[in-house]
Amino acid sequence: MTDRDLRAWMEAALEARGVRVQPADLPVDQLRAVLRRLEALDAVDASAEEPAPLCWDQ
Amino acid sequence: MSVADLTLVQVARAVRSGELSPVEVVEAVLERTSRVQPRLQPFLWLDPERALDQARQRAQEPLRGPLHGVPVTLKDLIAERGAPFTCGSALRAGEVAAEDAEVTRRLREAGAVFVGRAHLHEFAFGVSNDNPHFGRARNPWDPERSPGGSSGGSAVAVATGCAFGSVGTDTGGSVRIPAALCGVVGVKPTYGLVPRHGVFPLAPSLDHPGPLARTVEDAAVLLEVLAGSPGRYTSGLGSGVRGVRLGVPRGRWWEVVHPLVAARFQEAVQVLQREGARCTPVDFPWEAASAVATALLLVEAAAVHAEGLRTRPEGYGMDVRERLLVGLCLPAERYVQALRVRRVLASRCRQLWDQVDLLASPTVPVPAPRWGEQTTEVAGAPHDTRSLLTRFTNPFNALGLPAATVPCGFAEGLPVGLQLVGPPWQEARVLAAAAAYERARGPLASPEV
Repeated sequence: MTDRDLRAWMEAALEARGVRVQPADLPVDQLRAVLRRLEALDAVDASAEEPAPLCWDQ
Repeated sequence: MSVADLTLVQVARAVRSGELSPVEVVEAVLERTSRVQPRLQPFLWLDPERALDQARQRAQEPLRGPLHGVPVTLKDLIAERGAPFTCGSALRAGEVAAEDAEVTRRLREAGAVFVGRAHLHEFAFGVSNDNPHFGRARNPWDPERSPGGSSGGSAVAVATGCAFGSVGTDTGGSVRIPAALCGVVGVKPTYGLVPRHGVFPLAPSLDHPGPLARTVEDAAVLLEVLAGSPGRYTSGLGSGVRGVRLGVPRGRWWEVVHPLVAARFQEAVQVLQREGARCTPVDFPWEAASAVATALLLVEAAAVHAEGLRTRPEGYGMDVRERLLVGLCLPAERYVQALRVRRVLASRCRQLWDQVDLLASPTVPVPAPRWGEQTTEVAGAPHDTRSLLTRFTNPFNALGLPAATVPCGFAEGLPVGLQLVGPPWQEARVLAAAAAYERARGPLASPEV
């Protein structure tokens, strides 16, 4: 995703939630860095799992 | 030596035997606090007369429990009836807790005396304790450096003798990181062991209240009170590590460690081996577990603060606001994926515990960073400082596993922590190994106060 696309996406997501942020204050680089870090999730095949809370048995 | 330099166990014993009165103990701690607070600011709020009133009351009561007359402090994210409850945020200035959190109630019932409200990173959402509203709690080993966070004030108070113990919260390492960077013991128990009622949430599925103290035994006493399990963690502290299978990390994740921190860690492992532990290199899914923690933290924190971001965004410090905005923008499918991946990793962990009894790692891969340090060079490359600090801690928040940090020496004159992690509900095993290491290691220097 280009910087422009990412910025537009952030603006739209925040506006939809009623949050107003000056364009210069959008943490676009941080969002990009986080999205990159979350790509590590793709390395784990979890498609068969339920998205349920973790609960260890005592 | 001042009374303030005794351990929690020593001072509790002295009060029980009548050798010290609760008032004498609180006076010693307040004297220490009067010297430390102006320089290091471990507290957001102090009311010496209130602490003395509690001590006078304890002096006239029959013994309540194992903490009778012992001064402790709570991170200002944990409700204490009648005391300020700011969570380190200007948005909550003037808030006073109407009732105790459950952990506060348990400590009070055990006889504890509360001294001040401990400093923290704003809303516990950060690891530097650089708070734009209330200033900085500073590292007692070098005030030009961060004490770590978010329970930074708790760690500073304990390290400097302003309290015999503290309770913090750990969502990505917020008990263990400041404990390691300030040279004290910190424990993150199994998720759900210590109740969260009355603790302001950061990310509810990752939040773990836990104790900080100067020794493993002190931390075990506190954990017994917090968990409501008398004797469960102290009774096995002398059992040692003979025959314990200790998993030590290998692989790419492990390579990003400051060389002096790596050296202290290797020395600590050798100490445990001399005590009879058997070390095995193991693969652990650090990167995926850390990604799970990141996704859950950002989205859940954004959900907690969604209304505040809509109505008073200017009330947040810039670093916290930016992370909350990122959380609001993450795709929902990433959150769902993180929940699924967490269950896969938990299943892999069950297999790991067939091979080893405990995992060991450095708690934090670098010594305490300087104020404002955004990137830290390790292994010849710059790394985001905030991500470095949580590198070895947040995977265990994602998995809810019990973990403790115990001081294991110094790098460039700054404390280094050894992290020990166990299977779910095996706090006793983690603490027994930490205590065995602490005994074999011998005493370490304390910061000058």
